[in-house]
Formats: sequence, C-alpha cells, structure tokens
Amino acid sequence: MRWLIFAIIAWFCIGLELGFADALQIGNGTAQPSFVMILLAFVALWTTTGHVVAASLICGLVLDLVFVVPLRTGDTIVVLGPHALGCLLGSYTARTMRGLMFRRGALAVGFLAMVATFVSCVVVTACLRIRGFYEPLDIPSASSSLFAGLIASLITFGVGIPFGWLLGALRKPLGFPQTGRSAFRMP
Amino acid sequence: MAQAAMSPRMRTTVAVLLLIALALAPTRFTRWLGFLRDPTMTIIAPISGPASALSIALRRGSGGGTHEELELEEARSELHQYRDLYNKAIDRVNELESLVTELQRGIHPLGGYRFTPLEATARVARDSAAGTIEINRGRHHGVKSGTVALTRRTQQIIGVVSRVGLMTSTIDVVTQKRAETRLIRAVVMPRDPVDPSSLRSIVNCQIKAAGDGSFITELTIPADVAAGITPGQEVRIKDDQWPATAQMSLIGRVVRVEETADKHPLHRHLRIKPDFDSDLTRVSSMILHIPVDDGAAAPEGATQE
Repeated sequence: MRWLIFAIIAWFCIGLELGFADALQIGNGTAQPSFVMILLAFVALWTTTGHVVAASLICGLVLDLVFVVPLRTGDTIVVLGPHALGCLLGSYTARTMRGLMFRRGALAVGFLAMVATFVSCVVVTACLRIRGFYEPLDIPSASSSLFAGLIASLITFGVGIPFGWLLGALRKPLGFPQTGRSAFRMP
Repeated sequence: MAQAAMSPRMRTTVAVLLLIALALAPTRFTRWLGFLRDPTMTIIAPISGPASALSIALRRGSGGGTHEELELEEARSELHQYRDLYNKAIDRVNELESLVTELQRGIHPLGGYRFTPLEATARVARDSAAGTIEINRGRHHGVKSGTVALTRRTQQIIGVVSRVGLMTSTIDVVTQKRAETRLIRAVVMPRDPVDPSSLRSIVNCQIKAAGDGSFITELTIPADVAAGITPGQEVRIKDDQWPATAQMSLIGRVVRVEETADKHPLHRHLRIKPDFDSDLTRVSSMILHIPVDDGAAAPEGATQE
C-alpha cells in the first residue's frame, strides 16, 4: 500500500466525516455515515492485515483527537483510544469477513463498512461507558448510543456503495492488486 | 547480542494495551494529550471547511437564505432596538455607578461590555454528539475562551467559545442536547419599543434547551403574567454565569405559551425558538464578539466597536 496516497485519501475522508456527514444524517439525531469506516473497509478488502491495523490505528487516533467528549461540568476533553480501538476492531472484522465477499463489487465495501461502523460504535460506547463510572462524562445512555450506531451503520451502508465504487478507481494509486484472479486471491 | 525485534503480533498487542490504558485512564493523567488536537484540527480544517460549506448549502436551515430583505429589515430593526436598550441600560448603570463608587472603587462601568466583532467566520466541522461546532478562527485571529458567537443577520446567539486552538475554535451551541440540564436566566422583552417604563415590565425567567432545538422555561410563569406575553416577543440572556458580552443577546422568540403537564390553571410554560433556525449548527457564517481588555490591540481582521 502506498501510504502517502492513503494519507491524502484519509485526510479527505476525515474532512468529509467532520464537515459533510451531517448533510446525510437522518432527522435531528446523531446518526450519520462514517466515511472513515468506508475507507477502512475498502483497505481491509485489498491489503494485508498489518496494513489494515496500521491504517485503522492512524485514522482512529485522528478521530479521537477531533471528536471531543463533553463533561457534565461544561468542559470537553480529548480521550485517546476509543475510536482507535473501534476502528481497529471494526476493520479487523471487515478483514476477517472479506473472504465471504466479492471484493470488486461496491456492495462489498458498503456491507463491510456497515459491519465495521457498528462494531466500532460498540467499542466506543463501551469505552466511554466504563470511563463514565468514574468520570463526569456527559454522554447519552448506552442504548441510545447503540441505536444511533445502528442507524449510522445503515446510512454508512447506503453511502458506502457509491463511495466504495469511487474508491475502487483508486486501487492502482493505492498500490492494490489490479488484474487476473486478484478479486479472489487474498494478499 | 542484539535484541530480537518485536513481531507484528506483539506490536499490535502492545498498541492495543496502550490504547486501552489511554482510553480508561482518568482525565488528570491524560488531559495533556489535548494539545495534539490543535495541530490536528489545523491540518483537517482546509478540507472539512469546504465540506462543511457544501453540507450547509445542501441542507440549509429554514431561516438561512430565504426572504433576505425581510430579514435584513428585521435585523436593522433589532439593531436599533438593541442599541436603544443598550443606551438606556448604560444610562442606568451610570446612575447606579455613581451610587456605588464610594463603596467599590476601580470598577469601570463599561469594562465588561466592550467587545471586538470578528466577522466572516465559517463552520469547519460539527460534532453532534458533543453538541459543538468548530470554526475557522482561533488564537491567531484573537479569539479568546468565552467569546460569544452570533448569527450575522439576526444577532441570534449561537454559543460560547469553549476551546481555542491556533487556527480553529470550538463553540458550545446553546441548543445542544446535552445542555438540557443547564439553566439560562433570561428576560422576555416587551413587544413595544423599549423605554424606561417598559423596562420595569420585563419578565424574568429561567429557560433550558428542550432537546429539539427550542427552549422551554424551567420554572412555570404565573398565568396572569403569561397572559401578557404573546408569540414573537424576544427573549434575551440576562445571566451572570454567562460572559459579559453575551448579556442581553437574543436567544430566541416566544413561539407559544403552553400549559403545564398537570394543566395547572395558574401556571404556564413558555416555548422559545431561536430566531435564526432550530438547528444553529447549520449556520453558514457568524460574528464573534471578542471581549476587549483595556489597552489591548484589536485582533487581525476585526473592527473595534
């Protein structure tokens, strides 16, 4: 995988997640698609486990830095870890499931992104709920967080299909396999 | 003998354990990591800013770009009303100040109300879970913690800057869901032009975010007082817990007078909605009122008021 190209695409996806995702949210809730998870699901389809782990940790740490956690005191804090662990487990799940997918289909990216988004949401919710036992975190209940995560994963599925198709055009610049039987051969 | 390098599996395990420790460590041990957010936002803002502008253009709020001339008229009218009120209030402050000078020396009566407006500020990111938005103005532009953000057209309060980075800042939006438990002391302004006699008929109330983009009074209003309140009346902040530059800023308008849950005949609630839009996080531009210290230079791109 070419890391410079990945960094540029990840920068673009994180920008979309921060600025554009709310245009695709349903209603007034917090459920919105995750462009980063779509990218990670795409990466998980086409590269080695080591690269998937590294990419997940990088993207997750950036998400941890940009999404602050509110406190009941009115302040906000940066918590490093929840998104990084969530992205790691989510993309690893996608990496494990890719053998069941036809990798060249955009549907595969959307489906794996959906699964990865929900897994990531579960991990983030668990981390913050545990931390909430001894910190005055101002976070919604676990049930509402998971429900929002479920809706977010469904939206991610819908967005992931066209976005995954666009990412498919970047396989060559990213250094992913292009020809022959590579759609079925796992790197 | 050279030490054997860690295997990839071991490296991943170490990274995961480290992240678990960071995720669960109490804030007093990890607060210092917050400094990393500033450069990260500076790097991401150039792409999240245009993405945010596109998002706002696609899903513009109901009060955003329609009936521009009417809104301009309304804003001008409000500006005159606010200046009128401001002058009256300053006059009253001056009167009171002459009384308390003997007791409290050295307090400038206008010190807390001086501000520098900073325009052309745009949203670059939105965190719906935290109820915050990021804007493309930071310490470099003179923004300080406690700076008040207002909509450009209607001077509607959006929120207060809670975190200042070098090039970006974080605003806590007043209508955010997590603010449901926070009370704001406010006043319902009379419908007629403000004069000293009408100032005495201002209704004080405590409001809180209702979670749907509106506000509702926390304590009930007596029914006879509520009978004199009609939809459309302005509600302004009058709360010592808020920055001085936020005092008397518009927080919304009364949209209806509601019955209490137990349908008490003597008590009423007020439902208040922001003047701009129910979703203040979709505002495309805003004005920051940066508090001014005496003798401080005006920030870059700002005009002294």
